[in-house]
Amino acid sequence: MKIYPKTISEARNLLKSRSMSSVELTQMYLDRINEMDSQIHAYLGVYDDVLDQAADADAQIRAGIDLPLLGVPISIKDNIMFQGHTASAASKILGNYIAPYNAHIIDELRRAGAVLIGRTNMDEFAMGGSCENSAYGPTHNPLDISRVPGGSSGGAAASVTADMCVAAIGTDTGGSVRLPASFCGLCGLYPTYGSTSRYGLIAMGSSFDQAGSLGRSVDDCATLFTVLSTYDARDAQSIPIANRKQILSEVKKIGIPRSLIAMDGVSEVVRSEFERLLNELKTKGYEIVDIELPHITASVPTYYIIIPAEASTNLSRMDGIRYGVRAKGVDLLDIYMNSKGEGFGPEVQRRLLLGAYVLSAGYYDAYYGKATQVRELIRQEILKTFETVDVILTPTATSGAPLIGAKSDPVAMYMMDIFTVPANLSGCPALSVPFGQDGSIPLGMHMMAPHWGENRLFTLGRDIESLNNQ
Amino acid sequence: MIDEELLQKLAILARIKVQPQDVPARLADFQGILDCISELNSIQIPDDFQFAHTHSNITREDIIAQASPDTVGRIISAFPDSVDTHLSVPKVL
Repeated sequence: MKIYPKTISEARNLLKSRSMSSVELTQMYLDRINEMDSQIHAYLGVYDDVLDQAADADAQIRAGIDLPLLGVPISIKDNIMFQGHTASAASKILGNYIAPYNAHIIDELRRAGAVLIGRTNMDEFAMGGSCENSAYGPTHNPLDISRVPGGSSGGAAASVTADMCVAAIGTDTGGSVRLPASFCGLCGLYPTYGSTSRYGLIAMGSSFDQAGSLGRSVDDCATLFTVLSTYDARDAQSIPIANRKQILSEVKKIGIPRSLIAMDGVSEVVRSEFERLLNELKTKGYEIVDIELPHITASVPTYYIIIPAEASTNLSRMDGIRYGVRAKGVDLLDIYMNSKGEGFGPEVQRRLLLGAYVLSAGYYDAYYGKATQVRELIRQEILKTFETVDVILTPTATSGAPLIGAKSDPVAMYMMDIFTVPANLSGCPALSVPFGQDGSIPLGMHMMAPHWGENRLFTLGRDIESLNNQ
Repeated sequence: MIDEELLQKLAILARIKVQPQDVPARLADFQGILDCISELNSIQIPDDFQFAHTHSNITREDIIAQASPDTVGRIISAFPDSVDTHLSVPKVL
């Protein structure tokens, strides 16, 4: 029986001790993908040069070079540009699109020695929370294939949980790394907005998008965060290193937004497991306090106004002329409309229509203008709260992983993001760590820290991780 | 309320062809989403609230400026090809 390394440090130890070469390790994962992925559908494709990358890593290991990810196979979400390889954002409209350059984070991963194994399935253009909206078919949760893996980085999470790579890189706009982490029993990090470069990510909501990491341990997320969080002048929102605050990693006081946890739709199992966690954290010496965030329950409606507005702007270039597969038409408008009508799936079309609505002259102030104001209200309430607590703690999702097809109503799907979108609205970092079960399905707990407070998240995350492993 | 006429108008704005068989489902979904996001109407923003980033309405009426015949002539003469007062470009579609 093959034993797959569970963490980056386990994989690195195997490689450093020469118990296994990177080519052997990568081949083991490729065999696993061949054997398993017809059931899971985590990958849209394996990179054809993956064994060459692994051979290069072996040469570096033999030369005594030590890098944080040297020789470690990592999967990449399909909306991240890896030069010379397909990057389709799981959409038919970009089905034949070959990335002409590397995303900044790809350069950083390669510089750290990672072996990029393949591109993972996702909700089309990262629009969805279940990984059912891919134009190439849904991904199944490896822990129970009748259930979703979460989304939009569902393929990324499934690739790790199914032992088809060591760790994964996804993107997170409203919970797209943390929800799959919760549903697949992994750790998932959304870093401070501006800490990782968006250069080379296929944009969805530019004021929210960040690359995030998925792994089996908090340490894996910390390692990947260190590798990815470098300054990049090509992203206007990338924050120079000198302007990044130093935040103490110590966590003493944890704030609980009770109004959010009391909302309709949060399952009783999630609530009881959350209370069990709070009791265990109290026993470990943490101070737990209730906090008031008066407008946080409006996070989802606020998010689902701003996101379609930004997405409709970002995706306007996918018109069959500038980007995307071109459909036939009698004139230019007809070509645009047919290309988008045939190229985009239902959820993308829904959001683009909504984006056109909230940005149109008669509705702009009532929707988009109001939502940007409420976003700022929520952001300021969250930042003020961090003057009195170190971390805000909630569950990650309203339930364990739903059955495939169970959430056919878009609003019900959107409400699954209730605990994750406040971090994106405020740009604060957030981490999901497994804790508790709903039957055989894992649950995740979600912690949010002030900007640049990733180390606080790792401190508390490691404690929750150890409680879950007891 | 959203109706089919508004949906088709939005479809043109978004440059998406909505197939006739998809219209009822799109209308139902859209109305559900509008009901959800309309929750923001109940939130009162305090008059004295300090916004770090405020978006103002960027839509405005078009203002047609009068160009002098001399300006038009200079633009046309600087262009590679022209027909009367129109700029001429190769047909690409």
